[in-house]
Parts: sequence; C-alpha cells; structure tokens
Amino acid sequence: MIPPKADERWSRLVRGDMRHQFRSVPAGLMVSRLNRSLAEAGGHSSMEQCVDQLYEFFQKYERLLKDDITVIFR
Amino acid sequence: MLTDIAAAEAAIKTGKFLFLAGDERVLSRLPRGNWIGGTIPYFMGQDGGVTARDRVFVHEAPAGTQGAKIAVYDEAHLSSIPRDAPENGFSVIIIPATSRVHVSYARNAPGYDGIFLKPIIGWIAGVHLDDLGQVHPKVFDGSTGAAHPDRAVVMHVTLPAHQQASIGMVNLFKQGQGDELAFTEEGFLVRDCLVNGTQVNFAKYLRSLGVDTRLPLVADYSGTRVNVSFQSVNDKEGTVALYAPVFTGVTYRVAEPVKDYVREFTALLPTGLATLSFSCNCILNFLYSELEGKKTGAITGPITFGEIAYQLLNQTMTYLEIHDVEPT
Repeated sequence: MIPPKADERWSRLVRGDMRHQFRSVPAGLMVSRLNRSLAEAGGHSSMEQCVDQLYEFFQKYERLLKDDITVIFR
Repeated sequence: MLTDIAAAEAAIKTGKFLFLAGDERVLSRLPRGNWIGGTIPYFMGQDGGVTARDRVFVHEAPAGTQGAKIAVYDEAHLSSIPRDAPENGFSVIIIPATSRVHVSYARNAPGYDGIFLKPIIGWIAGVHLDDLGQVHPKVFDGSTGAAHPDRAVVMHVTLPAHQQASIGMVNLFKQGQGDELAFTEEGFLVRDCLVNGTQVNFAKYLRSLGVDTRLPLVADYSGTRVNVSFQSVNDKEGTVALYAPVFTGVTYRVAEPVKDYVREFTALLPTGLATLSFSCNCILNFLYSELEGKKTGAITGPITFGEIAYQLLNQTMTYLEIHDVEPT
C-alpha cells in the first residue's frame, strides 16, 4: 500500500534527496528524469507536478512494484 | 521463434497479433495481416545466434490480448505515442536506423508526456552489415503491406484487466571506476566533455587513456543502467559519434570490461520470469561477444541496431513480461 501524496517521501524521491536503486526499469528512468527536470526548472509547482506523475505511476503499477515499495515506504 | 517464410505466413493467417523481424525481401513477401515488422538479418534463435536473410523472427502478442491497433508515426507525431497507447497493455515500436524518427525519438522520448506510464518496448531496424550505406532499414505495417524508411511503426496492444505488462532488461555493463564524464550539449555527436568537471576534447581524452570503445558509456538512472555506445572517434575533426545521444545533467562512466558475455548474461538472467512476449538484444553485443552460434539462455529475438525500453538503449537485452494480477 503506497502512502498518500502528502507523504514527504514522494517529494524526497523526486528531489533526489532519497536515493533508491529501483528494481523496476521505468521507475528508475522516471525518477531520474524527474530529478533532472526539477533541478532544471525548480519551483514549487514543478515539484507538485513531479509528485503527481510519480504517484500516478506507483498507483497504476503498485502490484508490480512491491519490492521497491517495501524498501522505500517501510 | 525463428521460422521460415512458410511458418511466418501460417502464423499471419491465424489472425494473431505479431511482431516480426527479417530481411526486407522476406518481409515484403509476407501476406497482409495483424503484424508489424522491421528489417534485420541477425537473430538469437532457438539454436543460438544466427545471420539469415531467409528467415523471420515471430513474436506473438500474449494469449488473452483484447485487441491491438497498428499506427504509423512521422517525426512530428512521435510524442503522441504514449497518449495513443492503451491504459492497460503495452506498445511495441520499431524505428528504422539513421532515420529522422530514430534521431528524434532518441533525443526526445524521455520528455514525452506520460512516456513512463505505459510500457513501450521495441527496437531499431537495421540491415546486413555488408549493406550498410547501400540499403535503408525499413519498418512494415503488415495491415497495409507498406514499408517505411522514415516512419516508426507501433502496435498498441490492449490487455485484459487481470494482466499487466512490464519491461525488464539485462545489461551486463556496469559503470567502471574511471572518471566522471558529463556533457554540456545533448546529441549523438560529441566534441567536448567534462571530465571530473574539467572541459576537455572527448576524442583526445579517449585516445589519451586508450579507452576500449567497444565498452559503452554507462549512466545510472536510479538503479537502471543506461548505455551509450561508441560508433567512431574522429581524431581529425576531434569528434566522437555515438549510437545514442548523451544528455546534460547525467553522469557517465566508461563501462567495466565484460569477460565472458554468455556466462555473465546467463548468470544475470532473472529467475521466475513471467510469460515473455517480446525480447531483443543488440548487434554490438552480438558482434563484440561473438554470439553467432551461441545461446543466451532461453531468451530469443531479433538482434537490433538499438533497443527501446521507453527510451533508446544500446548494448542491452530488453524483454516484455506479462503478469497475471488481481484486478483492482
């Protein structure tokens, strides 16, 4: 079960403050992309957009991301 | 499965949704049907790596597929691929090597809206190495029989609610212990790079260290290792040509050498894989590791001029798994 979007671990992931080596290929590609786009753009609204995207991804693929979810949100 | 033409024709006539690979002369002879294809004469077949101009590699969409749509994209419309993909399913994309769509997809796909939300897997079509520069790689829309040297062809496959697709990869290459490399300009052709933060000419840097350019640059994308392979080093022009673009804001390192590709590949193959509906491996792995006649576990598929797992990859085996899941 993933935590709500307001959980600070989502923003730490997209900022790159929480370093996690994903087992899921798209999760790694996506988080890395979000890290870079946030670093380039900056700003609070971009952070919200990034968290929205990541949350949507985890919500959709929760059943396939168990290994990563267990480590990130333990 | 690697088959002869008659078996490929028979598979097409069943009406199944198919992803094909083969020489242009073979693909152009096949009947119309629910298939897409790309040109290549190199395969990892059931009996090992092989070069064959008279055979076809046939991947089938999984049993239970609810439907599929074939779409052809020019450069201007590539970014709509994720939007056109089904909410639950996957998309197989084939792009002709060295075409404008190849370059555009490689550079821009990571930035397409929603690119990572739906599985997109595929490959870059090529030609026999003897035909380089003389024959254009092509992709085929089997529903019309049309061949395209300058378009991407995609099959968007819809899965039932009790199945989900995921993309995996086997990449033998790890970042070596050498310098941190970064780039201030994105693209397939590089002049300068930042070596541990200091700007130098990349071609001179590679020569001065005697870097083995059969080893790719490797970037760590939060656990997913992405390779960029070397095409050539032009000492006169001071440029380095790559098989995929480098991106700004990404740290690369030259890969550690791989001693025995087949042994290390087999050791890295994940166990307990679900149903595989598609896989492909890179021509550079085929050549550098001399895979002709050798098997890479039970993984088979075309040997390609580039692999796609959402974005363009090099020197990487990619595969598509179909999982049975509890409907939400």
